[in-house]
Amino acid sequence: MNNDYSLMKGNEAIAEGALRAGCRFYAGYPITPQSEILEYMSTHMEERGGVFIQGESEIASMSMIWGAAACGERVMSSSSGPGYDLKQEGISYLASYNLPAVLADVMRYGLGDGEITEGQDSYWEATKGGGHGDSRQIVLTPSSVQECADLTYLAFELADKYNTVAIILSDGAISQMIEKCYLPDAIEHDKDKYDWAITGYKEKDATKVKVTNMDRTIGHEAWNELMRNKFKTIYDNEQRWEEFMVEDAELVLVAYGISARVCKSAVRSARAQGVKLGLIRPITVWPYPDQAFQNMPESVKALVTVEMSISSQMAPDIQMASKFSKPLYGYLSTLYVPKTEELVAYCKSVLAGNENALEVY
Amino acid sequence: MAIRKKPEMINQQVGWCGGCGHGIVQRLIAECCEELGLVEKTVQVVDIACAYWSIDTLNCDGIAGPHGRCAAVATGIKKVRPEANVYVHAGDGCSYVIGLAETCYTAMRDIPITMIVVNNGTFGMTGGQMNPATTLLGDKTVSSVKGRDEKAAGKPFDMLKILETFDIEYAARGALYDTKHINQTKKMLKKGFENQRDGKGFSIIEILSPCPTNWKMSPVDSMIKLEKENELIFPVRVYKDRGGEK
Amino acid sequence: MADIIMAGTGGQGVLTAGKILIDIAAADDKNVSWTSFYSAEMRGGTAACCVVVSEDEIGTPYPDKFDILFAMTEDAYNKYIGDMRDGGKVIVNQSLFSTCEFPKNVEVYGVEASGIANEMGNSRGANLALLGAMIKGTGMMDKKKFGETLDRYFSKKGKASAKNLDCYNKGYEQALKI
Repeated sequence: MNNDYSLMKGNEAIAEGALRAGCRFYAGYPITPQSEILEYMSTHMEERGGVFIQGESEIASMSMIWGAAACGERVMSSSSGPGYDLKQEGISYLASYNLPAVLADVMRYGLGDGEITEGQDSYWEATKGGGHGDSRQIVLTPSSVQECADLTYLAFELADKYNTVAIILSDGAISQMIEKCYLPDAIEHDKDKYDWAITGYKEKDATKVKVTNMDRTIGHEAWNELMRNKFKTIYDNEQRWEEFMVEDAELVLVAYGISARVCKSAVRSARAQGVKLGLIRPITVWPYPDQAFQNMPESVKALVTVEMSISSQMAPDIQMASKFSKPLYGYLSTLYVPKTEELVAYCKSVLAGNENALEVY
Repeated sequence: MAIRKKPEMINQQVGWCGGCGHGIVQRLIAECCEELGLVEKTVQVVDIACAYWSIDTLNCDGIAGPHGRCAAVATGIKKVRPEANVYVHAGDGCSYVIGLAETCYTAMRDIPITMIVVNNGTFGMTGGQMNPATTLLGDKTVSSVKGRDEKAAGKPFDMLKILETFDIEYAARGALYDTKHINQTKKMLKKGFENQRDGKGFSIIEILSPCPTNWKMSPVDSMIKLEKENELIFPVRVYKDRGGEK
Repeated sequence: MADIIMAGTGGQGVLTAGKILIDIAAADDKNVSWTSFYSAEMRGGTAACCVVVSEDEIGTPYPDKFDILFAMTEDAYNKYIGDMRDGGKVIVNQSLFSTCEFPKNVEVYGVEASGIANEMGNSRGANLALLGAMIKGTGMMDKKKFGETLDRYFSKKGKASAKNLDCYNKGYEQALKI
């Protein structure tokens, strides 16, 4: 760990975190609010001996990183909103051959063009998406600039460990925010270490690498088994979350990303006013940290999901994780970053029995 | 007549329909790679369409690109493995329709790969639908049952006219309807591989090729159609040869 | 320690003033966050950033209420004055301000920031003059230490100029409680 901090934006921390994790191939297309990732890569990739390409589309960019990933390189792309939609094709292809890759999805709010500002309504797309077919991707949600660097670094390790796509699910607020960041040490990645990668040279008698749907090469049953085991292993081993003052809480907030930051302020403020709030902050949202909800203290009367979405995209995951053991309420701030005192007031109102529980459907 | 030995690079039987041109193209590719001593360094990028069958048959590393994205996939590979002999084997749907942007931008970036486009005037793998870039006016397909109509679908377009205007190394069109043209096509392909070997830049070779199954013609009639009809719109010639000087 | 809103018109260096502030506070071992309110346009319109400086871990980088308002224009003042905590400090650029009645729950400091900048031949330095007024009005950092770090900030960016420090110092010296 580096003892000197840098003051940087969340997006820059993602890009620098990636470079320090040994990412040496980036292709992407500009879209607000993630363009700083692309810009940073364009400035710094070459000096680290890597390749930067500003693609003609998100679709082409994904195909470029799929080619590079098949060669064993550590690869990355990033986008937001409508641009991220176009990445789905590539995610499915990467999954079809178990190729590791890291994507950053910097959420902006709304449907269609929507807004260019912060939002958290691409949760479903990131956690349940992945294009056509049956695959899961690891999804990590930074809630500080420090975590932008740390979780990107981790994303490359996990992608490599499980031969999977790992997604950094950031948002317009975290991406544009400047904070102190202690950057991880740089490592070099050895692209020649894999037996499955295209190397550019194979002896005549050597087994050749055929990068295509793996179910074709190993058979459907073996493929199904491989996939099931992979998802289960990730589910069992990679749940990550932070608990904040849950031990004696009456009401536990559940939030990730920028909303979790507001929730921390709300917990502190409410406790100063004698109201016992706590916070569960998922850091992975796939796998969802079900373990965090398994032994909640008796004191907890209800849960409150705090999100910038219309439909409470995280609510079904919370209900599954808590096995419907507590009533679930929702503070859904849609287009706006939640307000601390408004949230505290809402929680008081929940405790006073004046709010309706969330209908999840 | 001397019978040429089958290239060792071809190590399996393949699944193309009888009379299809893809097999000839694959054989020419294998011959070129062997004659140039490039087999061990070769990486094929095949499109998820008829070209796909080549992935199992050629004894070299291969990757099946998402439909239309072969040039972009090849870009990723060539950038990470610049010593490799990277070629694309794709159809006219991949290269000129859904993937035209990828093809053009790979040309614009002058990525030193060899791109081989099989122009058979149809979407073969999906059952013979009209190809907006290459199906001739009046040609009947399952998505233009009365024949391609200009009002509804525009006219076919010679994409090499666009591609030759980029600052690329080489653009040419060959054809497979007789021995003379097959030999000429092989020379074009060889030139494309040599250009890559010599680090010269992007080469694209389009090949007029028959699809008897979807054209609903005999193999012989298909070859006649290629010569008498398709070549009128898609002339066989070298469009561009930069000669290595940028 | 302080929740600060800094606002003005695009091009006045409001966002830069915020970045200078966090640079200096971070070097002073504080935790900092800087968020901006951005719009699709690259230039023009209102510009604002929110700076949080804290000894502790920072919760929300978007505080509901502010301890300090740094207003480069009267519009910016009008927009945020209602969000001030009792006892908050308001720093206004009097060059772009008409006389008005200030609320009783805040202390207001003023300086002719744009005037100073023009006088010093550093027309883009009004933000620095107002930063000087802010350091004086809030006492949040030592005047000299802030000045030295300000100098280093510009040197790091390759934009070292004595005029910058002059603007800051003049702003500090001429700032008055209103």
